[in-house]
Amino acid sequence: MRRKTTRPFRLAAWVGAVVAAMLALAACGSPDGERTVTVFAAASLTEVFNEMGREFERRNEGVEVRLSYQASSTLRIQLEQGAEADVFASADEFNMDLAADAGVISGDPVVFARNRLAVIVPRDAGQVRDLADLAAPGLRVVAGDDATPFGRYTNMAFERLAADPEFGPDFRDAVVGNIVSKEANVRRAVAKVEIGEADAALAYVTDTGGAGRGDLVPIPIPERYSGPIRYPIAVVDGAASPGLAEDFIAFILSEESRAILQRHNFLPPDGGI
Amino acid sequence: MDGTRLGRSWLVAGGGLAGLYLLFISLPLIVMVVRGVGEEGFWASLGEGFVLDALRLSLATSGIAVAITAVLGTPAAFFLARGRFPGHSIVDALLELPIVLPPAVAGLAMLMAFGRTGPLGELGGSLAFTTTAVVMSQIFVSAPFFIRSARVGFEAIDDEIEGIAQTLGATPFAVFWRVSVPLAGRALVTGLVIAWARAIAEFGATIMFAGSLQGKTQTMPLAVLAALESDLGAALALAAVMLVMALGVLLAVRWLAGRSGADA
Repeated sequence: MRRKTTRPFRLAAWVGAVVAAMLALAACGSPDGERTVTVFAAASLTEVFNEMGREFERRNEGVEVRLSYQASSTLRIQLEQGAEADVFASADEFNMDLAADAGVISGDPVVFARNRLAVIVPRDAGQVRDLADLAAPGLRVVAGDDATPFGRYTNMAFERLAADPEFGPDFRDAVVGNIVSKEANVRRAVAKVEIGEADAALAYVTDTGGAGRGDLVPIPIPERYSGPIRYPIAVVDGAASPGLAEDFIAFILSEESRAILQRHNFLPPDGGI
Repeated sequence: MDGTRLGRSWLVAGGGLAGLYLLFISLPLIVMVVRGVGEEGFWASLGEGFVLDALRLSLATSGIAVAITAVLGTPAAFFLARGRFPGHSIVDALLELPIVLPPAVAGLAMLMAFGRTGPLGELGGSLAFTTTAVVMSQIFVSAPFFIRSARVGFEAIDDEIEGIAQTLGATPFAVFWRVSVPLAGRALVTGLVIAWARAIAEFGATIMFAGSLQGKTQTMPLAVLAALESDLGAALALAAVMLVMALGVLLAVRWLAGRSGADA
């Protein structure tokens, strides 16, 4: 009788202990305070912002930079749905404007870098050597979802390429026919080329620079087709660490970080290509 | 007396907890549908091209997936229920593995096996980014639900009936097809309905292995994610359609189970 009643209690105690341990572990990961700055950044900024974050932490003793990378459109939606962040860095002005219209950022966004659209291909594959090769029958091309910045830039570029007599509508239709998947962010698209499942990705010139991506090369798509690709950054409305957010943005706009951006093949916010 | 008091307080506490759980499950769904119907363009978006494409694709691929699951899964379930062969428990675990495996892992595994860089790619073929890949992803994650149900159905059959059929001269296949399958019929149908629902819900393996392209590989769950970033009304409309379908499936399964209960 006694054993019958203790058994479920012992089981409950075990379950309780496991749950408590899991909660304790989860709590360890989030010691929240004034000394953290959460940055929502476009997926294409992954390597460069990782480096910026480390540099910012080195300069500000005891400060932790938390980075979240997604397509800018995804991050914007998350902010609109109440995600807590201090800084938003978008790969296009379109999503930053939408965020401003929705009232989720405070102050005016500042453009800190520019980028170029590119066809990302394996270095030694040789199937795609220039833009025109993208129309080759049977080629497998990955692009961006229509809502993502790189998807929008790509769509714009192909509309303008279709209008250019050098390429024409047939070229556009052939490339669109070669697209096998529209990925949720630029890094997923490039990863499909990296693992050899796709022949080319429509992404940015900067998407080849990261560690382990040395075997990929970009074929730049001229800005007259893609339109200017500008990266604005802004403080999020209701940021938990507004002071650190301002500091982080000031650091991103500094000369030192401009050098880091340049090393990662980003262009300065103004001036020619 | 102590016991009844404990019983009553248990009923109150247990009922409260159960109610809390019910609220936890139903509140998000109710709010989502209410938000959706109130959203501009909710009804209109049901007729939008990518929504219709996603619906059509999901129905076609899941239908094919369920048909293949029935053909391959029924004998598998039968042998698992009847056979006592070496490695039985290993096969058993392997067949149930996809239930607990994260679908993204399944998708990555299939990408490696059936993609261009895998063994199939060596022969010049690749199934990645095709509608076939969508069907394969759906079978991978949904078939175990059918096999589980079918196996229980076969196990519930009295072996004597099969034995009698055999002594009357029926071949093993005839016993399986004319005796076992009809007797396990309700479990088979229930399993197929659950597998079909799981196939329609499939997301993680599909997005890994098949990618996402309207009309070709973008099924309803993938379209919900894609729409969320450009057209909240359409995302909510698709989500509502999937919710109604899922609820319909569960009610159908209840109805089937209820009939079997009445028979017993």
